[in-house]
Amino acid sequence: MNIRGSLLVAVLFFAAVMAPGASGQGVSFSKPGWPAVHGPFSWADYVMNTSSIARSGGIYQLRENTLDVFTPTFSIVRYDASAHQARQLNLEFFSYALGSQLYEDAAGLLFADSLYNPSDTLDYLQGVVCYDIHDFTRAADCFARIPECSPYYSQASGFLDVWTSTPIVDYKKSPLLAGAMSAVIPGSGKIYAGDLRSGVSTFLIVGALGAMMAESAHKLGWQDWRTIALTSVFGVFYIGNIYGSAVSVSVIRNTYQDAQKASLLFDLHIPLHQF
Amino acid sequence: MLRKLLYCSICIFLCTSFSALAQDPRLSASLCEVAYWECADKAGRDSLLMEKASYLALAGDFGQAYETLGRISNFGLSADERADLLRRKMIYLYSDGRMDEFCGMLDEAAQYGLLDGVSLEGRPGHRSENAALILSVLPGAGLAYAGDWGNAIKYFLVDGSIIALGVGAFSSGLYAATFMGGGMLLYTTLPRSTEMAVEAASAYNSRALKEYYAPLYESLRSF
Repeated sequence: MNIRGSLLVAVLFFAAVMAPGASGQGVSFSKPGWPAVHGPFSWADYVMNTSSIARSGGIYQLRENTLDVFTPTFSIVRYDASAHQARQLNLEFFSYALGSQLYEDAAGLLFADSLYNPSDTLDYLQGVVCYDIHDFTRAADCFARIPECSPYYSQASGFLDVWTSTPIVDYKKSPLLAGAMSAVIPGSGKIYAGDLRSGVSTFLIVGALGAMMAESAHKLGWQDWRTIALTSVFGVFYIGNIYGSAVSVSVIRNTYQDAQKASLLFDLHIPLHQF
Repeated sequence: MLRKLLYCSICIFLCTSFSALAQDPRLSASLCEVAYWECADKAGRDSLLMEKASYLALAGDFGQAYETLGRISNFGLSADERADLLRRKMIYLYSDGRMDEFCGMLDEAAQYGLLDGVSLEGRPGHRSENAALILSVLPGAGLAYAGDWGNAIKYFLVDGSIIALGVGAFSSGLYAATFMGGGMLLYTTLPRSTEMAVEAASAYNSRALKEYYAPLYESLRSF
C-alpha cells in the first residue's frame, strides 16, 4: 500500500475512533461480562456492538441495567477517627440512618478507624451498608467475618450463599458455530447467539464496507490504493465480526447469569435490615 | 522547663485535634447526624443540621450541604434565621453550579434584604441552545458558537476530513463509498458534536450566570 493509502486508512480510523460508540459512551469494557478491547479486531467488534442499533437491543439494555446494579453508588472512604472518642454502637441510629437513606453517613461512621470497637455487630452493619450501596464484594467480605456463634450468622450466610452461587441459565450455544456462521453471513452468529440488534448492526456495517470495497475493486481494480485501503478496513471489520460472534456467546451467558444474580440479590428473603 | 513541656503538649494536642477535624470534615458531618438524631430540641437539631451542612461544604460536597439545609423547616424560625438559612442555601447552590435554582431564590432573597447594596452590572451572557443545534450542521460551528473552541477545531477537522474524503470518492466514481462510508462516519460524528454543542451552550449560560452573580455571592458570603 502506498503512502496515500496508509493516510486514508489512518484518517478513517481516526474518524471512527471519534465516533460515539468508540469514545467511551455506552458500556465500559472494563466491567465484568464484556470482553476487553485489546486489538483492532475487538475494537471493530466494539464499534459494531455500540452502534445506535445495537444499543437499542435487549441484551445491551440488560447488560447496562445489570452493570448498574453491580456498580456501587459511591466508594467507601475509611476516615481516621483516632481524634474522636470511641463510641458505643447504636443500632437504633443506624436503623434510622439506613431507613432515611443516609448511606454516606452510616458508611463513614461504620468504616471509620477506631470509632467503634470491632465486633460481629459492626461487621454485620458494615455488610448491610455495603449491600445497600451495591458494593456486594465488600459486603461479602464483611459478612464472611461474622462467626458462627453470632446471632447475625444466619442472615450473613444467607447473603453469602446467594453471592457465591453461580446461577444456572438455560443457554447452550456454540461459540465455534457462531463464529462460522458470521464468516458466511456477517452478523448471523450474533443473531444465533441471541443478540438480534447487534447482529443486524454488524451485518449493515460489514455489508456496507464490503459493498464499498467491491465497487472500488470493480471500478478501479485491486491494485489501486483506494481499493487497498477499503479492503484493509473491511478486513478488520470482517474478522472483528467473526471474533465478536464467537465471544458474544460467553458475553450473553455472563449477562444472563449476572442478571439472574442481581435479581436474586434484590429478592433476598433474608431480613438483612432487622438488627 | 515543666511549663514549656506543658505548653508544647497542649499545642500538640490542639494541633492534632484540629488537623484531625480538618482532615475529615465528612466524618464530622456524619457525627453531626448522630448528634442530630440524639437531640430532642428543634433549635438544637436545626443548628446541628447547619453544622453538618458546613462540614459537607468544607468537604466540597455543596449539593449534599444544600440538601441537608433543606431538612430544616422554616416553621418556628425568626425572620433573621430564615434569611440566614436562605443565604446559606444560595451560597451552596452557587458553589454547586446550580444556577437555575439559585436564580429561583432571588425574589425571596430580595424580600429578606439580601440583595441590598449589591450592584449587578449589565446582563449575563447567553448562548441559545437552539442556535447551537442548528449551527452544528456546519462542522464545529455549533461548538464554536457555544465557546468550546477545542472541540470545535477537533470536529471541524474530523467532519471536514470525512466530507473531503466523500468528495474525493465521488469524483472517482465511487458512489457507494461516498454515500455509505461518508454517511456512516458523519452519522456517528455529527449527532455527537451537535449534542456537545447544546451541552456547551448550556454550560456557557451557567458560567455566564455565575460570573454575573459573583458580586451577590461575595455579598452573601460576607454577611
